[in-house]
Amino acid sequence: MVITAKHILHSSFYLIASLLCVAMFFIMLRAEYLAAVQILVYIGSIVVLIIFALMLTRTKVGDETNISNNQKIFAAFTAMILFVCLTIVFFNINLEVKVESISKVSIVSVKQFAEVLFSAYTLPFEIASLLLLAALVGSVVLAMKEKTEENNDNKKFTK
Amino acid sequence: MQFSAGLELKLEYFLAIAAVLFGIGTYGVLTRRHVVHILLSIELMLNAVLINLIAFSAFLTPEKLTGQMFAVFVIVVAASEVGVGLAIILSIYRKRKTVDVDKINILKG
Repeated sequence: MVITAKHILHSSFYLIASLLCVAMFFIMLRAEYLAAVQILVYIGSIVVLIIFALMLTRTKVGDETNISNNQKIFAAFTAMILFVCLTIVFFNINLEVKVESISKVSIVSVKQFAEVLFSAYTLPFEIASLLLLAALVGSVVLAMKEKTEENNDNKKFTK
Repeated sequence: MQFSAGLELKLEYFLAIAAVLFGIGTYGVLTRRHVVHILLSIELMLNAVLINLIAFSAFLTPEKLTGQMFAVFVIVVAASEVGVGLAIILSIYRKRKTVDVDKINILKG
């Protein structure tokens, strides 16, 4: 549905539905904290950001009937090959499965999670914060550049 | 919380669902012409990877939580990637007045 919707706004709403389904899978896998993070970060920020960008760009492409390029068959072929390969690998690999079925998976508490995150994974955590800062500054610079030039143009016109 | 006896979800089911999601995302990335649509498809693929990470973490190493840590960092990277990508799309749109990837050929040599 995300892929086949004609209008891009519809497809972003379908993306919300599929992200909710993924969050349900996380809850089934006993990762409640990650489910909450998924809903907050993905649905709360990423999809909203995408919808904002759509409104800002005011696209015309989504309304046209020809939303896809002319390599549909090739793309479907590639995706099918990828899917078949992944399935073959997943079902033939010999994994040391320690937990037989989902009802025996233990629930991960937030306290447990935080203990691991802030003891063994402190350095990656700090690096992730640096990455977020860099992304923030970079996106602001990218989005603001044109605007300042436009402002300068406006000033020239007023003079 | 116990599931009924007939419904014993195994690791392979989650892996199959993740493979389906990844295939759909690949198809979307390869076919769509709208840049934002391609970003949405990339989000689908990242979600497939997240399902895989958490399923492996829950079934193979239930006491170490390695997969869940990786999933958190994948979410962080995805968030920053979408932010920067949308900023680039906005600046390209201001310059070129289009969001069609077939018409964006600034880097053509």
